[in-house]
Amino acid sequence: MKNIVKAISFLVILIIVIDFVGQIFIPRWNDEWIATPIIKDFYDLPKNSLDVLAVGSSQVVRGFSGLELYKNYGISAYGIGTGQQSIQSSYAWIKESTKTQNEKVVCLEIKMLFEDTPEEQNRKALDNMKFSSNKLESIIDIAWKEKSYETFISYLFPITRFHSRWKEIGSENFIEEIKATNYRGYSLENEVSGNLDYVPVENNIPYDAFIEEERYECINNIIKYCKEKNIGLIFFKMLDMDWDIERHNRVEKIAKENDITFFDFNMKDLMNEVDLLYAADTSRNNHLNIYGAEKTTNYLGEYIKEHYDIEDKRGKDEYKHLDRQLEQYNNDVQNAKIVNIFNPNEYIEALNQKNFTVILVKNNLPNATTLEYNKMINDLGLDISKVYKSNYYAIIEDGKVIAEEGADQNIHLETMVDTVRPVIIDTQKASINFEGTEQSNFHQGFDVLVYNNKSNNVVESSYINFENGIPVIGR
Amino acid sequence: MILTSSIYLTFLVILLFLYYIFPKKMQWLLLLLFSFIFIAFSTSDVKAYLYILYTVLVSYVGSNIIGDAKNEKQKKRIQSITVILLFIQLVFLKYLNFVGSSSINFINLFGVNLSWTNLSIIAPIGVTFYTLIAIGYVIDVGRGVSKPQLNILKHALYVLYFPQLTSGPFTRYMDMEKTLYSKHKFEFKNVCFGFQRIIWGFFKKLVISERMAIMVNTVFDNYSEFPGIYIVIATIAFAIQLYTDFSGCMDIVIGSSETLGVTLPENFDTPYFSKSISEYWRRWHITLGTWFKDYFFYPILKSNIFQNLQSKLKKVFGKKWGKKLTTYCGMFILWFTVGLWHGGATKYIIGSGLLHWFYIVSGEVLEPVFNKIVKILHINKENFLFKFWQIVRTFILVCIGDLFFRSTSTADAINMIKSLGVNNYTEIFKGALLNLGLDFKDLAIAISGILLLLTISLLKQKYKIREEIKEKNIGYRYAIWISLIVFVLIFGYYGTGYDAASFIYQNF
Amino acid sequence: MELEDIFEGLNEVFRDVFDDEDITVNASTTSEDIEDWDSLEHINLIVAVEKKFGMKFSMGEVTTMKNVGEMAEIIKSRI
Repeated sequence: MKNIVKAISFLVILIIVIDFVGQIFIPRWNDEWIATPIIKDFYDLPKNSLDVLAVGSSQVVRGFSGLELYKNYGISAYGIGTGQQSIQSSYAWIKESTKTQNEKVVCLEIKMLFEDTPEEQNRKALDNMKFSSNKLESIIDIAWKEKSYETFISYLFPITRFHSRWKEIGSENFIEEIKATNYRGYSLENEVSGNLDYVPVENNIPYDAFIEEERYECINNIIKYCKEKNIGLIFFKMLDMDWDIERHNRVEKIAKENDITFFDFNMKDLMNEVDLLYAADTSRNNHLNIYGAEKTTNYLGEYIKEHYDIEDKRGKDEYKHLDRQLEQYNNDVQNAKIVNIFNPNEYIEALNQKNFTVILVKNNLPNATTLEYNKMINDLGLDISKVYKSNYYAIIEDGKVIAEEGADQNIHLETMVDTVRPVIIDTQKASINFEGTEQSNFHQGFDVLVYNNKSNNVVESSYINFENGIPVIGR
Repeated sequence: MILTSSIYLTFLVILLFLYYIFPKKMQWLLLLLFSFIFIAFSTSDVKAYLYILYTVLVSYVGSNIIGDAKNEKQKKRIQSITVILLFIQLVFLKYLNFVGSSSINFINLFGVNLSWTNLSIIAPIGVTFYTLIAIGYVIDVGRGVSKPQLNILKHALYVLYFPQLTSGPFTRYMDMEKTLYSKHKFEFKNVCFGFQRIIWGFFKKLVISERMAIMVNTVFDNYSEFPGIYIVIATIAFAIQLYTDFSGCMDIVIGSSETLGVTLPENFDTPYFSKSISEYWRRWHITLGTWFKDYFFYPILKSNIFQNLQSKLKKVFGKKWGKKLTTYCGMFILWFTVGLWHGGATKYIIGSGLLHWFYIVSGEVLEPVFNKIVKILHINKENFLFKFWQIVRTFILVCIGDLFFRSTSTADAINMIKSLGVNNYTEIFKGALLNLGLDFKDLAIAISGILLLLTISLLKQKYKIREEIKEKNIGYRYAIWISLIVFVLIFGYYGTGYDAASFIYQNF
Repeated sequence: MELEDIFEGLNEVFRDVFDDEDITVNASTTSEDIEDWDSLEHINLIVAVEKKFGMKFSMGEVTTMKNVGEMAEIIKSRI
């Protein structure tokens, strides 16, 4: 008897140690696709605080911005999307979510119904999932498909898969260093692809695409599970260069058979309704950018608000954490968007936003009297008599001019913004030296530095020039 | 089934679970079943089962006919026929190409112009091992040392017992029949010690052997680029690789059998601490040595041919030298065969055979010369430094044989020895060790492993390691074994990103 | 023949084979006790014993005998 106790205690300690060491070796998937943070932060959500869960692949990470739903509809949402997340993993995550949350709606991005997931991506979805019968099922599933016992062991004990990284283990494996912020499962991207090759999908072919048997079985399991748990299920397909009517038809069929709403944002009609434009709303790697994410998520939000009885969470004490997150999110979106603005009126409006400190220095710009010139001066709240001087600078904070000077000779100013950040302005050289680094573009016009007080970072440096009296924004 | 794999460990654990739950008289049947499962996992070739079946049937039928035989003459005749039948299969499966091409070459000496095309025959795992075990059994029955096993299933178990199946050790039926078929009560110590030994085997193989293999392969597969010091490094690395690989395999195999309560004989006894080549062969692949001694060498020496030869030589060279020369002749045949057993190629015949014959014979012949030198230089044979010199000298001699063993052919081995003359030996100080495929970190781990192995080997001379650890307190014990397991898990050469080589002796 | 006489005969053989007049064997003597008695000399020893006593050991006995005592018993049973 004593021996059995000894043996079991040894094995238990051994497994704990192996697990602990394994955690150190699992790669930190902290890059722009934030796979690890998405999962770790999900487990940290307050219990039963979620209204809507979005699941899917990287399409969700870049396309579903949960905080938009909170901002505009008071809905608490989160997105679990890892790169090429398989349908099976999505299913596992839906099941996993109901252990700690009681969401009313699940939005499933159905791209992966038609694709395989390579091992590396499967790991992202599973390695950080807490061990449970749910995880065990998923592991067995993957190993069975590969007909490999070694695969089973490698998922059960990640140390056996990642031990070869021992040479690379450094401080980053012990200290969490995250390279992109996780906004409730959303990773902010502001790049605009400008890609005009995209053609919306039209209802011109009656054929269905083929779904592999296991995935078909899985999607039916998901449908069944959500029905049993009384969770509303919505299918959706993000704007995507790699999509076609055949696949649309296939999903449409399943949706109709099971009375499930399916939003395909590639269909011409829906695109028009949502005002989606591929060139403007996606980044260069065929994923939505912030503009597309806003439109898509809010459209879903509108639908959910109308069809599901979800209490408005805004203002409630238990959801104060969402307010804080939203504040940071809004601020970061503000930073993200301003760098894409080329329309002068829009840009001026953007410069006047809260949390921005804007420094302007005039650089070799002839004085003008055009309507546009005067409008700009006016909208920024500048004193035109000072602006007309050959040497001129202005500092604008939260849309208000807090410092401004115009002179015939050089103005050399050393001051602080955001209380502690040193700035040196030299109007003759048109130099804006911020914290020791030169930020001016030295371009004709007004050289502009935009700084965000809340996120404490330089947002961009640009210039506003006037060509034939017409304002031009440049970077 | 690769022994250093999670599949094998799971296989063993499941077996153990069933083994100690099942009624004890069924335990041997369970072993037989699992031996077949082991074979099934090790080969996908249907023919392999036929070859195995052949060995089992021939040895079973032969031994039982011997048992029923009326007189000695009949016994000897059946014994010979059975052994030849078993032997023929071995030659067919392992040596056909060697025999064929050698014969053709011989015939061609007479002006004929034939050529031999190599046939591709896949030898089933362990055929050189279990065939010899079967032959040994038949001979023992013929000699009256053992009674034939009447139960064909029990007989099959002896021949195919999975721990010894792929690489030995060579067991004796008279020893095995005492424990293989008996009832085994669950002994916690056996299971513990067995697994501890298995972990140690994993350590040797995955941490040390695989890393040595990288350096060895870099040089041996491309030796023209790596002369001088690199040949030295790679040969020593190979000596280490071969030892950790083979003895590690033995640790796993003997440890596995230990968990089942079946004792297997040891095959290694820190061989590189040997002070002479003769001693080396009492400590390296021990059961091979005893097998060849009992079933091959002694019959040869005791045969009439050799006794007559001895009388003749005694008349010419005197009593002492008559005896010695006869023995040397016998040994020549022995070592030729031992070399040949390792493989059908001259490099094996030399490297694991005749070279050692040469060492032993010249050692004996030159013994008076050595003794004189020792006397003149007033060397104390008990002195530690002298013993150390003997160990180093023996190791060097063994390494030369290993060079032949590992090289692609005898011609290549000779070229490699020639290239020892290239004077780049100072490169050892300029990081030569890092030019052979292992970076600094890997090399550091390998060397740490080797140092640990060396320490344990030295301690083994005095202490029984597992017993000693068992006496310590529980925290200490858990720490040691868990650390070792985790060390192997982290630094072992296995899994994705590594090409795990099968045990070197597995295809023998 | 009595065991005593057998041992006397064995002493003669041992001294002759190993070239050492001081060797005396008893029932428990093994190869560990005599310096040159290794596996190579074993056969020579066996053959010499067979010649001395006019009998033959079987190969099985040659490889399994554990000490001189066993050897003597076998000799006794053969002559």
